[in-house]
This record gives sequence, structure tokens and C-alpha cells, in this order.
Amino acid sequence: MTSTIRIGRILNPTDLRCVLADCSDGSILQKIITADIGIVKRLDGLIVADAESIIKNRHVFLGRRSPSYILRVGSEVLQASNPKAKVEELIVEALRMDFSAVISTFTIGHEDERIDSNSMKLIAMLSDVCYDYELPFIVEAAPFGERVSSENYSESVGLAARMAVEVGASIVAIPPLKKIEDLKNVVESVKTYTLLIDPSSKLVIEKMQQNLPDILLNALNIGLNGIVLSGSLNIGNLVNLLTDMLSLVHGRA
Amino acid sequence: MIELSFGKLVRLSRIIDPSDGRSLVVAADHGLMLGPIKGVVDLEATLRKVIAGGPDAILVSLGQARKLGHLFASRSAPAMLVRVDWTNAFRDKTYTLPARSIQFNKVATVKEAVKVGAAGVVTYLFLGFDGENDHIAMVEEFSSECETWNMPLIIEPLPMGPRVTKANYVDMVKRAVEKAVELGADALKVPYTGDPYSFKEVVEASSGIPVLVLGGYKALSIRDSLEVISEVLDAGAVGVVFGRNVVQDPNPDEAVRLMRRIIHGKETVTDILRERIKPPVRILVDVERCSGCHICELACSFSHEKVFNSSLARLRVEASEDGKTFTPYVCNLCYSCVNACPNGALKVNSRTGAVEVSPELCQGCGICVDSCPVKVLKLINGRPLLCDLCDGLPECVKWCSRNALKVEGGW
Amino acid sequence: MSLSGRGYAGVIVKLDLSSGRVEKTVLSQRDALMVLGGKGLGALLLYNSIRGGVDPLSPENPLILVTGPLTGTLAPSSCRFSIVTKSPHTGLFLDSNCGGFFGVELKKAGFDAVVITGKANRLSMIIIDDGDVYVEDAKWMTGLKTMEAEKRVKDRLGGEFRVLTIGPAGEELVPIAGIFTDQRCAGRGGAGAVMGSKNLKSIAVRGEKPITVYDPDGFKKACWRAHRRIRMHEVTARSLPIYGTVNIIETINEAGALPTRNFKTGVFQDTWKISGYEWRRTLWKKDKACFGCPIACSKLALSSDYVVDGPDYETLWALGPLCGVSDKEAIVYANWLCDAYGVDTISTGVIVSFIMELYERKILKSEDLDGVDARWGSSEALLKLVEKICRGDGVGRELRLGVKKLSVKYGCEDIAMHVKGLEMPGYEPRASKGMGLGYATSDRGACHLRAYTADKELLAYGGAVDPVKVDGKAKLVIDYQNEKALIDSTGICFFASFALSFREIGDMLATATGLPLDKADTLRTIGERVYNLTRLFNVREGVRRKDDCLPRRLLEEAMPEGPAKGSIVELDKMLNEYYVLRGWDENGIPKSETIKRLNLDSIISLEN
Repeated sequence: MTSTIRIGRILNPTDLRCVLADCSDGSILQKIITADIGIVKRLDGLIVADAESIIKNRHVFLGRRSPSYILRVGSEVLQASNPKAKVEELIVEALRMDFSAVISTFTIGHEDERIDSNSMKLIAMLSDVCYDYELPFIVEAAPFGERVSSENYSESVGLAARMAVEVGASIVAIPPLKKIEDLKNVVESVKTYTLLIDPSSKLVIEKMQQNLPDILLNALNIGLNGIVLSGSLNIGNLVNLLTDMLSLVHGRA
Repeated sequence: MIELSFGKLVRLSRIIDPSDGRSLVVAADHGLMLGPIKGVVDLEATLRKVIAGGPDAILVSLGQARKLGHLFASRSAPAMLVRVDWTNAFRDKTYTLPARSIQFNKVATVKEAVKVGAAGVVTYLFLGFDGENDHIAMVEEFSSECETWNMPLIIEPLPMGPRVTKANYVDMVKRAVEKAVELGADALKVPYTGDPYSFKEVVEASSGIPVLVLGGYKALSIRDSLEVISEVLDAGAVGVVFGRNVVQDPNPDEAVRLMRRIIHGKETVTDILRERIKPPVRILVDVERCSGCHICELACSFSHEKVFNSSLARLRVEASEDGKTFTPYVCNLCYSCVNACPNGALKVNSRTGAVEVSPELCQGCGICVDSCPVKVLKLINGRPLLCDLCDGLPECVKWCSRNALKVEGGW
Repeated sequence: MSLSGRGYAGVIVKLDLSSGRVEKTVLSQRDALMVLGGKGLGALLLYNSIRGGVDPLSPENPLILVTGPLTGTLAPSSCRFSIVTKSPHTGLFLDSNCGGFFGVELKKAGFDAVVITGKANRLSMIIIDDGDVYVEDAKWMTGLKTMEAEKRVKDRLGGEFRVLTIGPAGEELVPIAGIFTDQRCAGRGGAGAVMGSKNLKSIAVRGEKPITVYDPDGFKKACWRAHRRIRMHEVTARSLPIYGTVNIIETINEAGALPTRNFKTGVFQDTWKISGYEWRRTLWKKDKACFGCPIACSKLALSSDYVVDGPDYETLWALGPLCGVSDKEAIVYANWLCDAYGVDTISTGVIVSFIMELYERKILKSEDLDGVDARWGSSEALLKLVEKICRGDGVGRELRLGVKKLSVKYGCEDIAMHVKGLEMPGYEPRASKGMGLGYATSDRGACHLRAYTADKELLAYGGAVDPVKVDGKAKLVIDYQNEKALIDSTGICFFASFALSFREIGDMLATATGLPLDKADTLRTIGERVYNLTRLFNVREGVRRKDDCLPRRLLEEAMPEGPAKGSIVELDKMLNEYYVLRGWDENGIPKSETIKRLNLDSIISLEN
């Protein structure tokens, strides 16, 4: 079960779209906030790796209309002596802080299949606990590793995305694909909300020829619900980028 | 003061708007306490109207919270508050199966409220009856759960039971507020003590914890509710939690909008009243509804002359010979007197449509008195006593509790 | 400092009917601060006018009419005045609170109170015309029914006059006769007989003086807030305006507290036939208000030939379920008869039900009742017996003396439902023990209004209290008695006070009078003082613990059905606690420290 209210903070129910900014890389959050706080407040969600960043910038997040904040949980959790307990602790803390969702990455395609397996283990555990607490769970499903090539890329994306859904993700983020019909097939097999992973993200192996706005527009046209910006946040004018993204996704300036 | 945890801070900021520190909450949890009362039978339909008016938050029970989550799912939607306790104490004689003793219970956990995405939980705290220690213990448990989950705790402290008298009522409200603060309330939902002076004392007793005022039974006129809102804000409340006065209004969205104007728009009630009035301000009389109380005459004479004297009122109420009918006679702006005046001393006020006399031109002949078809004119000190429509907001209309006097287009 | 123009008129007028002397005295600030007005001032004036043992029907017994400081103002329901005297029915203190328009007119005439002593040579009428007081012959009014009397006085003197009058029963010194004005009445305790004993048929008053207050702006705001409260309270904004006082009857019945068939049980099967909804649907045609009242609890029942203001709850109960009757037309006609002849409906109903029980037990047969077949529930029997009581025909002569005297004659004291001689009103004490204690300790005999604990015990307003438990009832009753005594001294109506705290009432009093009356505790103390004052009056007349009692039926006969099934009233237990909390000794006499604490010794002189 997923809290309708929390999903609604991320995906605006009027258009079921969102623009999320991945700020789990530390400095980017401050950069955006100091650049233009008005733009930040219009974003649908900000991804962070810890609670501190939210607390330190509380003025951004107070009030009903403020952007939601999403907690990124990585594989370090599996290092704990009792990973399930650790996950529970993190989720509870996230709820206390009123995070709207949890996000994690699922990768498949490593030569050492144990890495694939651990990745699956992580998202399964997170999904399970998130479900208990009705916290929406976002999975970035990206093929990654030595075994992934241009030939098997689109099918690998389909594989990873479908696995994320099977394990219980509320929202799945997928990398862009060169052929738009391939992307469409993935969306159809996933059936839940899908977001585009930033083409400039470290997770995306296959580099795209088109520019970001075109890639995004095509993706939205075939039914994706928005984008998770990460790498692009470091390229060019930040405020222009965010403004363009918001107007593309939500249709208004 | 202990600093609030971030979780409580951010959730409270969804209820109390950080831009002005004010809040308009609509209560829609009556079904749990009172059954399917008017206005909440089809809760979703009512709430859609309420939401159209733009409240900051809506209070519902957990069951409804789960069913109606979609109404709250957007960053422009109101925040959701969840009622976590139940009581029979409000089922007085006007409801089915009135209470015979005060009972109360927990009906939801704070954890469930967190999961569903609530911004706060609400619980009663009664002071004034034998079970109050148990009630305090229950609220204590909620308080510690709220600490654990960083969920704002809104306590509704109320004097309730045999130890509450007319003499100690205000003191009991203060004591209940103090207890609630002691128990860890992050906000309070309190009754209005009736006047701003005693209410200031209640606000003081809250030691800085935000105070919201509850609405109680539905008022006869929304004008009364708006006035109360204005008064409590002046006395230090941050907003209101109004239930029946919104959901039982024929137009809940309009009711919420008007309340917003006072709370966030910082407008006055007079501002709002005035914009509804267009000249001529005609007072309509519904004879069927008149009960012969003469309050209109008292209000008129007192407002104008500062004394109670029916013969100085600009209107009058007559009982019929058989005592079965009461008829108010008011100036109905027929302007017969204006036309009859041989000296041109009577003119019409362009703003309200009321008749005015120029003292220099008036000869005191009394022809106007004879010309009046409803006989509401009389000469006092040689000048006609004229209804001035109280500058557009007639006092007689305001004080009439029967809706026997109304203003066309207004309240 | 004069109180004139500060809500008060500032003047008390004394009229002695024997000598014709009229004396005007100033109302002192000290008295106002101690006892306020209305019931309190009336009690003070009564206590100081006579000694113990005076015959209530003698010229010595004063008939006192008193308004309160808020009477006639914009305070909500500011119509009230009290009629205070020594009761010929109980031989004890009597205050009868009355609405309508008379009290307001009295103040407009320039008087806070009128004290009438002596006895006129022949049937007379007092006329108070804007400050002038004189007596006129009223022989032409002999035997007139109350409505007729009032109408004829107005025809003679002018429609602006407000009229107080007694009916034929008052003229005949019937101990259950009341005083009537504008279809309202001061019904209980026989004040009508006192008026009749003075050869006084009627009092007419007219005034033109404006009523003013100390702080007009502050007062207007305080009054508006009080009105607003009333408009925002379910009882005063909806229950009472729509269904009158009858609005409670189904709830009272469901609680098993509706005394039926002479208090044999507390459940009446046909209550649905006489609910507020039923009355509204059939006979009630109009809402009517007293002066200055936003509630309008009165309902006019219009039948083909007559108009009756009513029935109210008590009248409906006494002439209805108490006698087993559910016939609305009969009840309305019986109401009209009582009003017309000028007797108290509660006492009348209790007398009829007492007779019906004696009839059931075959102690009385129809031959003893002039042929009336006095079966439970018979409308015919009800009307015949009521008419006899009203007119004094046949056995009616005896019946109209009250159940106490009747019970002595027939040896059925156990089931004579009265306390101290005053017939018992419509709440079953076994199903509402606070009401039981209230009846036993009320200052005028069995009365539901001194301590209306039914508010919490049966109607669950402001927090339900278990009606059959006795714990805490003593304090509950004392709080209610003190607060009601205060309200009865202000000039506003009990029903308006439902929605108000003492803070709000204090605001109105302080801004009206300029006196330090804004603190809730000051008002509470005044109420307690007044209640002790009336107790001292009764103690002076010989009242002791044995008189603070209830009929045996309630103490020993278990309630046969309903939520209070099996219950009896544990009066002794509650009474012990009551005396202690009141600061009275075991015999029910206020202790000297209580008297001193309330400064009563400074305003009355005490023999003991």
C-alpha cells in the first residue's frame, strides 16, 4: 500500500507529471538554492542522501506548496550487521522527517553476478519495508556492468525495469533509449509511473545524440511521467535548465 | 522553549501557513462522534466543495483518511489531520442516543496517521469529570507516540462534566489549556470564551503554543462566525477549526473563501459586509417570522440615542388585536415623505438610499409624518426621526435572530 | 451614588393598600452589590418586612414585584421580573419568576420594585402611570377570567399599558392561584391568592422613561456578544425556538425520567403523540417572544375559539403523561382553563393524578367525585376535574387546596407528590437523583428550576453525568442552585443563560451598572448569598431537616421500568453531604460562619 498523499506530493494529480532534482551529491543542493529559490520551490522533489541537508535548508521545505524531499538509500546498508533492521531504522527516520519517498538504484549486468544479486536484495528489502510503512518507493532501473552492450541495451533496460516492478516499486526511473518504440515497449511492460533518468547521469551507458529537451519531449509523448535530473545539473545555466524542464513537463512557464 | 523536531516543524508548516502564521482548518470528523449529521452524509461531495474554497487543512477520521486520500494528494491540496480518539461526550439531547456518562477511547495510532501522510493528529482532553485522570493518561500516550514519530499533536482541551459551572467556565478553559501544553501539545483547538478579554487570558495560558478556535454548533448567520474569527485573531489566536459552520453551510466553498479573507486576507467583517450592499438598501420584512420581541426597536434606539426607548426607534413592531400576529413596520424607501415635503427638506442619500433631512430647510410642519404609509415617522424636537439605514448595515437586521428583517442582497 | 440610569431605575415604591400611602425609597448601592435585584432583592425586602409566623393571607404579608438591573435592556431575554412573597400554599418563601412585558414597563415607569402591603376595602386595581401610583376601584372586574381582565383594562386605560392580573381563583384565595400577564404567569405557590387577599385584582403599568446604562458602548458590545452566543448554541438557536420547552420530552422519556401516572413510573408509552414535532405539525401556529428575547420559546396553540400560549413542557407533562393523557386537544383546553381561572398547571395536574391514583385504588369512587369516572388517561376525567379545581365546583372546592391537604384527609401521604406542600414538577427523581435532591432542598418547595441538574443528568449538555449515581450530586445541586439564584436576580431569562458563562453575564452587569460585577466569583457569591438568605427565611418559619424530604414513594418504591429500573432515591446520603458543603448544620440551618462569610448579617437581622 502506498500513501496517496505522498505520491501526490511528487506526482501532481492534475497532470501526473514531475521534475525531480537529484542533489545527493552534496554541493548541488546549495548551488540550486542560492541560484534561484523561486525555481527550487517549483520543483516537485529534491533527492538527498541524508536528513541533514533538509534540516539545514528548512526554509525551502516549510509550507504546503514546498517541494517534496526524497531519501536516497544506497548499498552501504547491506554492510550493516542486521541490514533489515538498518533499513527499518532508515525508513522510520524518513517518515519522522516526513520524506515523501525513498529512491534507490537497481543495476543488472555485472560480470560478477553477485553484484546483480545484492542489488536486487537491496531493492527487495527496501520495497518490503516501504510497503509496510506506505512510503512510495522509486527505483532507478539501469543496466550497468561489463555484460551490457549497445546490442542488448534496450532489452536490458526492459529486464531491469520489469524486475523493479515485480519487486514492488511504486515509480520506476529508466534511462533514455535511441529508438522511441523500444522505450514505449518498456513503459508498457512496467505499467506503473515511469520517469526518465537524466541522459547525463552516470547510470546511463548509452550516450544519446539528441539534446535533453528533445529526448524528454519524446519520452513524455509516449507516456513517461517526468524526469530525474542529475548530471545535467552540472552543465550550463542551472536556472534556465530547471525552467525549461518545468515548462516542458508541466506545460506552463 | 524546546525546539521542535524537524518532522513536527515541517508538518505544522503545512497546517499553519509559514508566510503569515495563520491557519484555516475545516473539521469533518463529526461522523465519528455524532453520526451522519447534515453536511457530512456524502463526505466526499462536501469536501470537494470545501476544498474549492481553499482551507489550509481538513480534519478527518482515519477511515475517511484512507478512503479520501486522493482529495489531499497534491501540493496545492489542504493538509490532512487525523482524529485519533473517540468520545460520546458531544451526543447531548440534540443527537441520537444521548450520553449517560462520559466515555472516551483511542481509535487510531499515530503510526497509522504517519503512514497515511497526515500533517497532524487531534485528540480531546476533558477536564471537569471523574474520569479526567484516565483521559490525561490517554493523551500522555498519544503525546509520547507523537514524539516518537515527530507527528504534531493537536489537543482539544475542553471543560466537560459536573465540575464545570458558569462561574468557573473560563478558568476551566485556562486550566485545560495549561494541562494540554504540559502534556506536549504542538497546537491547541479551544472554545471561544465569548469575549476578547477573557480569551486573551486563554491565549496567555497557552504559553506560545499556537491556538486555533473551534466553531461548535452552527451559527444562525455566517456573519456571526466571521465576527468570532476576527475577534479571536485580534486576541491572539492563529486561526480556527470550524466544522458545522462550514459543512452545514449551503455553500461550503463560499463559507471557506469568506473565512480565508478574514484569516489570511486580513480583511475586516465590515469590509466584506459592505461589498454586498448596493443602494438602495431595502429592508425586507417577513411578518410570518416575527415573534414580537422588539429587539429591533431596542437596537435602533440604543444605537442612535444610547438609551432604551421604543418611542425613539425608527421602526416599530405592532401586535395584532388578537395577539396572533406581530408586524414590524420599517421605512421601505417609498419616498412619499420626500415628495410630500413642501420645503424640499428631505433628500435621498445616494450611498444607501436612506432619507435625510436638512435641518435648515425643515419647518417642523409634520406633513412628512402624515404622508408615511407605514407610519414610522414622528417629530422629535421639531424634526422628523428618520431611518438612516445605519449607513448601509442596519442594526435592526443584525440583531434580529428570526430572519424577520433582511436586507435585499445582503445578510 | 444613585443607581438611577445605570440599568436600574434606582427607586423602590411602597404602597400600602390599607392606608393608601405611597412611599418612594432609593435603591442603595450596597443592596445592589449584595443581592443585585430580582429574586435577591425581593428576598431581602421580604425578609426585612416581616417577622416569622405571619399569615400569608393577612394584610401584613407583602407582595413584592422586582425587576433586575438588566430588565428592559438589550441583554438577551431581558424581560424578567420576580414576584416575591410568603406563600399561602407552603407557608414559606416564594419567588415566582415571570416573563412577558410587565417588568420592563415597570422599570420604564421609574421603579425597580413595588412592595404592596395592606388590604384594600374593596376589589381594586393599582395603576402605575409613568411614576404616579394610585388605586382605583375594580369591582367591575370581579370574576373576570385573566385574559378578559387584561383586555378590559387595556381597553379602558390604553394599549400601552401592561397588566398583571389574577383570575377568579386568586379572588377566591385558592392556594394554587397564580398571577398572569400577557399569557405568561407567575404560577407556583399561590401568589395569586396573596394578591386576592389584598383585594387586588389587577396592576396596570405604563412608562415612558428611557432606560439607560453606565457605559453604553461597552454594554452594547457585551450584549451583542451574548446575543451572538445564543445564536450559536443549538438549544437556544434551534431546540427552543422550534419546539419550545417541549423539545426535551422524548429524551426525558427515553431516560425513564418522565413521571407517569402520579410518579408510579418514569416511562410513558404515548410520548411520541405529544412530542415537539407533533405539536409543531398540528396545533402550534406561531412563535411568540417575551420582551427582548431572541429565543421565542413560547408557541401559540390556535384552536377554533381560543388562543393558548403553550403548552410548555411542565404544563404538557402535568396535564398529560402525569395523568396518563396524550390527547393534545384536551391538554390545550385544560391549559386554557387553568390560565383563564388563574391556577398553577403543575399543581393542578399533580392534584388530578393524585385523585386518579386514589380512584384506581378504590379509595375514591365516582360518587365522591361528583360522578367523574377518574380513570388514568381519560381526557374527559381530566377536563372535568380541572374545571372543578378551576371553578371550585363541588369536590373541586376541596381538590384545589393541594395534594398535601388531600393526602392528610385520605391518609395517602406516601403517594402525595409534593415537597413542603408544593406539588412536584416533571422530572422523576429516581431516574435523576440530582433533581431529587434539588426538589428536597429547593427554597419554595418541590421545584425543578432551582437546581436544573437535568441539564447534565438527562440532557447531557456540557458533559453527561450518570443520573442514578449519588456521588457528587450534592455539589452539583449546590452549584446549580447558587448560579440560578444569581440569574434570577439579573432580569434575564434562564434560557438565555444556557448559552452564557458568568464572565459574559458579568460583562453585561458591569457595563450596565458601573459596579464591580464583572468577576465570575463575585456573581457566584451573590448567588450563594441569596440562596442562604431564602434558607434563613424558611428557617425562621420553622423549616428543618425533616422538611427537606421527598415522598415515601420515591424513597422506598423501586422504579419499575426503564433505564433507572430498580432505583430509589438515597436522599439521606446526599442530604448529609449537601449540608456539609453548604456550611449548614445537621438540621439544615446555615452556620454562623457561613452567614458571616457571606456578609448576610450586615443586611438582615437574625433572631438566633
